[in-house]
Amino acid sequence: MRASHAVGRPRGSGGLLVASAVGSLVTVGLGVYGRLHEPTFVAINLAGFSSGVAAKAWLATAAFVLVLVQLVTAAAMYGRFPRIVAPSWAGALHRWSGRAAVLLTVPVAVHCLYALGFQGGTTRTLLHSLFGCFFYGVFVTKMLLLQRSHAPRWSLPVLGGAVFTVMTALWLTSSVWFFTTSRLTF
Amino acid sequence: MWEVTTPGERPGLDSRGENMKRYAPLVTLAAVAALGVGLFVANTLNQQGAAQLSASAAIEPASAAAGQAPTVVDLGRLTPQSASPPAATGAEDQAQQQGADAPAVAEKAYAGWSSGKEVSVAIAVKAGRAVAYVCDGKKVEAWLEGTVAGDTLSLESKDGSATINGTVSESSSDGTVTVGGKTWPFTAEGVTAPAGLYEGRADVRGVAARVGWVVSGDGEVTGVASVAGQKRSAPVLNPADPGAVTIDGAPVEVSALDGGSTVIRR
Repeated sequence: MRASHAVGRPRGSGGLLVASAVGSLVTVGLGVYGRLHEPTFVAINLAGFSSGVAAKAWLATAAFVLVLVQLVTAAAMYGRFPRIVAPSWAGALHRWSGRAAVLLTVPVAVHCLYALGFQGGTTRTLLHSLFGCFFYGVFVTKMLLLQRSHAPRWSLPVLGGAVFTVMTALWLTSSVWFFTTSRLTF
Repeated sequence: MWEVTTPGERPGLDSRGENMKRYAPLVTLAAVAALGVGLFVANTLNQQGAAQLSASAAIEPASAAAGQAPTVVDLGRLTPQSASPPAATGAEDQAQQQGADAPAVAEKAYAGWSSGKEVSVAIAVKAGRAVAYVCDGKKVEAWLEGTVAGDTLSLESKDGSATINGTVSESSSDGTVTVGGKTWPFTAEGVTAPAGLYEGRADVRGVAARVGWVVSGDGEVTGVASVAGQKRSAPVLNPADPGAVTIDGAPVEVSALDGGSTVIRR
């Protein structure tokens, strides 16, 4: 919180509030939809995979790899690696790997919400459902903050860290679970 | 992993094209939203087509030669379909009336059969609310919700085509069950875990599957699985090891239901 006092006037906490509010609405909205929607419909499958779940597991895995790229490039840009100066293309790599990652998650999330819904039957599904709703809320909050130049300086790393953490949790509770229970299949 | 820190420079903002970059996150958000909405619309259109296709297929009665050719039913409903329009939300209306008449049984599960063992019936009641699952173990099944007022039990399926009406006591529940266009008397005895009512959910090659099981007091298990709207015999459930259930190779997440569970979503 020191950062908000480091400059002459408080740095746009109003924008942070608005962005957080919109992100919260997204999270709650996804959760409510997933809970109310009867999740027994057939969902469109992706060609090239043996099953919809396998496609989801691999899409999520690809997104997770890109999220690792996100972590490394963000840490480099924030000077977290001693004696390594972030190359000029780190920002572009961060943005484009992030866009690719989040777009990869969309078919997975739509399938989850449409065909399966918010499930709380087991710890894994409950955590996965909660993290899934939370992920898009945090993501929306971060995107809205990015385009505000006066957001508190701590906010972006915190939100970026949250996106990374939640994405990791989502991957562990879905793809890793699938690969360990159904073997490594395409 | 992250410290609250103040880097010297905000990443991603250089002077060149700053104005464009300022709105780039919004463009990203819009792209994500557009892709998501597009996939939802595609799914919905796909689903409507499938529902129209199956609308003409009427469910066969329970006595018909079972199993070999699963009937295609409305994918949106896990209960057998009927020609009548969906009934009003009777369960909710009854829930409002029920305050006047306290339930005779606070919390209990019952499992049993129709008079000629045509269908198995499992009912769970809790605090005036009741849920039930009825199936023939082959291709007829129904999920029901309703109420207990006094000792009177009243449940119906989402579209109203399956109903259970009867009475409950601490030891047993009996009455009549209507499913698949037929009505039978039934008797279900009060049971304790692991007997009772189970629900399983799975994702089979990208298609949501739902399974219901009735586990009777003597350990007999009957169930029906609904995969992509097609009904068939449920995979074997061992109540002592519910984690071991698979359907078409996909792991099934099994949960034991009580009277407070939701089995019908509107």
